[in-house]
Amino acid sequence: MRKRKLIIKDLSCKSISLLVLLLILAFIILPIFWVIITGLKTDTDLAHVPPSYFPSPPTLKNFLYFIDYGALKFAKNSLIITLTTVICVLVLTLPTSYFLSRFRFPGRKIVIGGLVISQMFPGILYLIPYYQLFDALNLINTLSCVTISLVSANFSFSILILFTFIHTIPQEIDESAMIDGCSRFKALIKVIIPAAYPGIIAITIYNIVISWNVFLSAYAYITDDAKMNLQVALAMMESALYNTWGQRMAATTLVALPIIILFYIFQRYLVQGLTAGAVKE
Amino acid sequence: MLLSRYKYLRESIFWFFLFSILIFLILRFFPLVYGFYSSFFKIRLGFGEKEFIGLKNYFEVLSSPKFLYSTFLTIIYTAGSVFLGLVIGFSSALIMNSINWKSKLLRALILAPWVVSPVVAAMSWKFFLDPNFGLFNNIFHNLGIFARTDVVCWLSDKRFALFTCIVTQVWLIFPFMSIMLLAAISSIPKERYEAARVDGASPFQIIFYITLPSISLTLFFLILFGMITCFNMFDLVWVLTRGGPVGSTEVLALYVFRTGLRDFRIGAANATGIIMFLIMLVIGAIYSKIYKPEGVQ
Repeated sequence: MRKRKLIIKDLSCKSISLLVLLLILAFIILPIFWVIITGLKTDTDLAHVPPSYFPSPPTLKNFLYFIDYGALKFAKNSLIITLTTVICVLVLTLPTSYFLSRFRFPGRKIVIGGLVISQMFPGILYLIPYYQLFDALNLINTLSCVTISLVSANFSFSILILFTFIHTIPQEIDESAMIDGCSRFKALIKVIIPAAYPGIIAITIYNIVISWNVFLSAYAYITDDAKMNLQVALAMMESALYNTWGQRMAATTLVALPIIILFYIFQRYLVQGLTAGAVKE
Repeated sequence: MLLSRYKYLRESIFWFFLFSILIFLILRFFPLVYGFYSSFFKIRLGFGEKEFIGLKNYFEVLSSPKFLYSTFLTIIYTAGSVFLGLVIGFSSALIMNSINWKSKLLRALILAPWVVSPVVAAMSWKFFLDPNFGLFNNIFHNLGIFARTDVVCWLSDKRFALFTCIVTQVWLIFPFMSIMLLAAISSIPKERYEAARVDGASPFQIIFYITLPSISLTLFFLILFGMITCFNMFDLVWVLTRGGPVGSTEVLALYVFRTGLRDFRIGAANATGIIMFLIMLVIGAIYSKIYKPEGVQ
C-alpha cells in the first residue's frame, strides 16, 4: 500500500518536472527558432499575416544581403577588437597571476583584495570618465577605445581565474625547472602554461565572448560608420527603415553564430574554469 | 636573511608584475577618481567649459524625479530578473540533475543563450514578441486564446514594457545560473538525500531542507552576480525599447548614458555614476567578505 503511494507520488513528480522542462525548453528555443526561420523566408512570405511557421521555399537571400550591407567590414572590426583584447589580457595577466601565486610580499593581500573588489565596480560608471579621457587623448573614433575599456573590465576576473588554476600546480615543479637553469619567465612558459592550460583556455574564451559581444563602449566611443563592430551594426540596422525583418533576423543569426560555435567547442573549459574560480564551498 | 626575504626583488618577473599592476591602477582606478573629481564640476565637452560647483550636481540628480523613477525601475528590473532567473535556473538544474538519460543535447540546449550577446537577444525577442509578425502572439491566437484584434503590444505598451525587458534578461542570464547551480547540486553527498527519504520527507521538503541549504554559497554568489549584471544593463534595454514608451523602461544605465552623452551634462552623469557606485560598494563589501579565492589567508 505504502509502496503504491510512493509510486504515484514519484509519477506525479516526474510528470510535473517533465512539464516544467518542456516549458523551459520552449522558452529557450522558440525565439531562436523564429529568428532562424524568419531569416530563411522570402519577401512575399514575410509580408504574410498571420506568418507561416515554416519558410516556403527557403532562401538564403537575406543572409547574402548582410554581406552586401558590409558584414565583412564590421566583422573585421569585431575581430580586431577581440584579438587585441585577448592578447593584452593574456600578456598582462599570466605573469601577474603567476607572481601572485608564488611570492609573498608586503601588500599582497591588498592587491588581491583590490582585484576582487574591482570586479564589483559597475561598468556604466566608467562610461563617462573614459569618454572624457579618450576625448582628451584624441582617441574617440578609434577601435583602441573599445579595447582599452574591455581590458579594464576583464583584467581582474581573468587574473583571479588564472590564479586559482596556477595555485593548484605544486611549487616544486617550477622550482625543479629553475634548478635546471630556467629563469622565472622560462619556467612560466615551459611548465606553468602547459599545466594550467584549462584555465588559460577558459579565460581566453571568456574574453573572446565578452569582446565579440561588446556594444556600449563601441556605441558610445565610435561614431564613424566604417569603424562599427558587428553588434553596433546590428543594432543600427533597426533604425534604417528599408531593412525588412527577414534581413535583420538573418543578420542576427550571422552575428551570433561564430560565438555559439566557438562556445560549443570549448564549453567544457569555460564551465570548468568558471565553476572553479567563482565559488569555493 | 634579508636577501632571502626580499628575493623577489631580484626576479625580472617582479618588475613585470609591478608594470601590470600599474596598468591595472590606471585603467581601473584612475577613471573612477577622475569621474569622482569631475562630478564636482559643470562640464560641457567641446566648449572647454569647466566650472567648480561643489555638490550641486548631486543635489540636482538626487532631487530629480526622473532619477528617482529610474532608480525605482532599476530596482524592479534587477530584483525581478535575478529572482526569475534563479527560479528557472534552479528548476532546470534540478531536472538536469534528476534525469537518468544524461543527455548532452539537453544541456547544450539549455546553455544556448549563455554566450548570445544582449543585442542579439534583444533583436530576437523584439521580433518574437512583435504584435503582427511575432511567433508568441500568433501561437496564442492560433490556439484561440485571444482574437487578432486585441493583440498585446508587449514592448510598446507602458504596462508590459518593463516586464518584457525582464523576461528577455532572464532568458539571457539563467543558463549561467543553471550550470553553476547544477555543479553545486551534483556535489551534494547522496547520503543526505537518502537519510531524508528514510525519514519520509516529501520532494518539496527535500528541496527546502536539504538541497537549498547545501548550495547557499552558490546561491549567494549568483544573487550578487545577477545584481551586478542587471543593475548595469544598458545594451538589452536600449535595443528593446530605448527607455520608452514614455520613460517606462528608462533604467539607470540609460539615464547615465542620456545625461552624459546625449545632453552632455558630464558632471551630472558622473554624479549619478558615483551614486550607483556607492550602492554597489555596499554589496561588494559583503561579497568580498564571503568569497575569497583559494590560497588567500
